[in-house]
Amino acid sequence: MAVLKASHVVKEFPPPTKNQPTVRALDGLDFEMSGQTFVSMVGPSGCGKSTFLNIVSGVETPTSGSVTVTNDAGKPARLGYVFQDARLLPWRTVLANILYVQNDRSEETMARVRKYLDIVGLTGFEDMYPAHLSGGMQQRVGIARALSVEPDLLLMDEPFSHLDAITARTLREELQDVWERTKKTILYVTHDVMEAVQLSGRIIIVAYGGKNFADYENTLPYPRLQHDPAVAAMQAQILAVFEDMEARRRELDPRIAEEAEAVSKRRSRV
Amino acid sequence: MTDVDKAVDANDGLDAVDPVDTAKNLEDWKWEGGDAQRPGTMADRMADSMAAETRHAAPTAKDGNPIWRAITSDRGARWTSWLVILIVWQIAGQASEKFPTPLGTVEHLVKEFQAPYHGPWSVWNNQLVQNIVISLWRALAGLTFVILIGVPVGWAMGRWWRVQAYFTDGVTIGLALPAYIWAMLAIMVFGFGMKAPIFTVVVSATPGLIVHVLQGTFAIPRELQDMTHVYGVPFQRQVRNLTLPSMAGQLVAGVRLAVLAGWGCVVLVEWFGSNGGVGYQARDWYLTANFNGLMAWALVMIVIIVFIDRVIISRIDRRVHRWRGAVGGFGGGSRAGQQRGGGDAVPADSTRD
Repeated sequence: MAVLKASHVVKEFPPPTKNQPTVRALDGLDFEMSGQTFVSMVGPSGCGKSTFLNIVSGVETPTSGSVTVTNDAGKPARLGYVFQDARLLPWRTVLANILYVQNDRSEETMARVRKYLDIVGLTGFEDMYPAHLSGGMQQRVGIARALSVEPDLLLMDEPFSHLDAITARTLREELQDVWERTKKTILYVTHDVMEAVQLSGRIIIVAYGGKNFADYENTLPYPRLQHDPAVAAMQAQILAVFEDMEARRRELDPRIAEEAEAVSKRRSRV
Repeated sequence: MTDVDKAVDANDGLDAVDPVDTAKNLEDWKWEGGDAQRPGTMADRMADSMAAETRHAAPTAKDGNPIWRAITSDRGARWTSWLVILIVWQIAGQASEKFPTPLGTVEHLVKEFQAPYHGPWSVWNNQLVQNIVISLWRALAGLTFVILIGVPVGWAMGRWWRVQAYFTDGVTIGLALPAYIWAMLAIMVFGFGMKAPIFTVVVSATPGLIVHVLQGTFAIPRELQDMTHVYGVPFQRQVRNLTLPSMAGQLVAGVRLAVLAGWGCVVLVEWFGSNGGVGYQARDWYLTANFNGLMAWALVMIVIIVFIDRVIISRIDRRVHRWRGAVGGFGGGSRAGQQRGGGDAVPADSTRD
């Protein structure tokens, strides 16, 4: 398990051309998480969720602020990352893809890899290439790869967003089952409120500009099914928070208020 | 109600259309040129088309002839064209002693094979084989240095922009200078022997390989590099599993170009300043006005390079890309080039690696 501490994280990207301003993707994001917890980071597209995940994983560095991820012993944590796309080596088989990120090829490692392939339901597909697999199956390989390194912290960046609804629903249920069995520390990024309510024990809402907006505990019992009224009620509650966030955004930025009013008028004419 | 909504209401696409009315409407469709130019009904046109196809497909007595089928097949056509070229060449060669002929060329090659190089003749100790070995040895030595220098420099240029800035101008100059300039310089500096051709191969072929390798580094998918970084994959494993496979296409293309350029440089240096090798032999016969001899050694140059390309480089190319065959072939249209968004698994290919 891991301890993640993000302290006033700011990330700016240089302007793509001379006449454009610097892009401030994160603006002082703060939070902590630790232990056997499934945390979802929810926000509208472009609010900086994936950027934050890239900073946590080390792919990006923050402009200011700090992010530390340590394990129970206080040493740098081992990370697993499930990306939006599977990011498999197309010229290596499923088994070779998972072995690519392992520390060794011992019998223990091979057994562990096969165990996680079995957990995600891909036993028998070890010798297939990624192009032989459907998108859902490729994503499962990505999940097995992330779990097989037995990470202290598992990062997931909208892993089901590229899949069709049926496959995504199946994989969400499987992920719940996997988490019940493994109890990893998971940081899950999504823009889908239903997904966050279904999967996580804590929901952090990030506003536009990469700022903390709200932080909720989700104490609903597992498994959480989409048709469960309690899940739907919580989803409505979270969506209300988003509407509040949008309302505040309109107050602060008159251009957004004008655009919202124009859209509202067009709808009422019809 | 918007104009679009009104238009939709007026032309409700869900109303059923009487098929009899449709046929009648088509029949009454008037053409600008009047009924005289009106094309026949669809059924008439289809019948005409089928009749035309039947006429073209009607079997003839020739189709049953195996010789005719062999001649008109794809392979037959290629061999026939080569035969025609050789016949025309032979006939044209009779017009002048200065013009080499195919038969004369082959005859000369046989003579070179029968002539001993040093000491008693053997299958290995003859003019043909020994001169080829000399040239190949020089080319191999030069190309070894080309690969040892070109691949790391190209990769480093792609990896660090400062390295790229440092080497860019040098590579450009290397590409711009013709090989014969380097050949002349090398002969003046090193004289006869091994050094001049090796030096020329290195300076002429390395820039091209560097450019290909540099392009290859840009082909390494950024998302896979990020994944590798996140999981802390060791450098050696990264090179073997990510860097080299990503760059394989450009790498093979660069090596192929280097081999072609390198072989040409060796022959060039041997022509101008050497005491042995394929280029030296070609020049020797040219100076004695034996054009069959010149053509014979030119043929040797061609055969060797084609052999290296088809037997060695193409096999390496197929091997590094064998994973594509396992997933349905090359190109964006193959399954390897496609993304999938869900659905059933594709059955395993029988040519799996």
